[in-house]
Amino acid sequence: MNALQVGWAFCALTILIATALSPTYVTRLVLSSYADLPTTITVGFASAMIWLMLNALSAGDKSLAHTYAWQAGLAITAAIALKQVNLVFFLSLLIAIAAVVLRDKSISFRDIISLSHKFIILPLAIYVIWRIYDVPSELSPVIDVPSGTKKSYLLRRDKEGWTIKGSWPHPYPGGK
Amino acid sequence: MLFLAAAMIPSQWDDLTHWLPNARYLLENDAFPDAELPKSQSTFPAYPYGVALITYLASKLAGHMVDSATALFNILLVVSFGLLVARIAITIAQSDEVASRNGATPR
Repeated sequence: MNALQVGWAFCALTILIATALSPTYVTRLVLSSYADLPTTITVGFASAMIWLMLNALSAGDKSLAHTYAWQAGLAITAAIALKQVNLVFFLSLLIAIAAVVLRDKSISFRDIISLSHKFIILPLAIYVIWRIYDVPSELSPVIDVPSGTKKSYLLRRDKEGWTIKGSWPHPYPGGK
Repeated sequence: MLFLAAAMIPSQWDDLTHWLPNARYLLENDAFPDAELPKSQSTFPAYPYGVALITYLASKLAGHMVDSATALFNILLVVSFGLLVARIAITIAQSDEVASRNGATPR
């Protein structure tokens, strides 16, 4: 994108887009420490960068496409570092890219593959690192589960300590 | 908006159960939860610490826990995204204008 002259009208448009025109501007969420708004923004940034990347590829500007691919990768990495379930948005973006490439004959799969590592490796790395660190590193001595079991536990904290309510992908055999 | 966010007192359920306790744990221990460290008081101590890091870093700079750090950061984030969308919209409008001046069909 070219540099734009910033005037009052542009500033007003920006603030309107960020607030009144934004369907995700919910005061209760924005003015809190919730991760919902950062999730919206990082996924939004990543989606815009992917869109610009595909446009650049369609126009034959591979250098610019690689720049946008890095930016998309960094944005979606930040999204996954906010909430583990944001991996779903990342996978949705990959599916969307595949759908666009299938429909748009001006973009070749080879071009996408050649730059895909720039928006795939970092997000996956941050997710895997979180999974390895995960609950058991702190809770294994508490719930008698070996560290690194790669299982998700639904836990409830009460006055007596922790109670395991269930686990995934394999059900927990009994309560504790 | 920034003044409004700065004056906010944490009142939302999840703020009090894990988002702020996770940040407080980082501030008190300068480390992520570990078996060697004191037990976290958070309901979800294993949640990713991306948001908690914002509060942690702001609190380190301030020298005390800044409850509203993420709310302030949210305002900056949402405005930065508005800026991106506005830039894209204006760039498209300008390129369409140039195309129509040259006789091409606008996108």
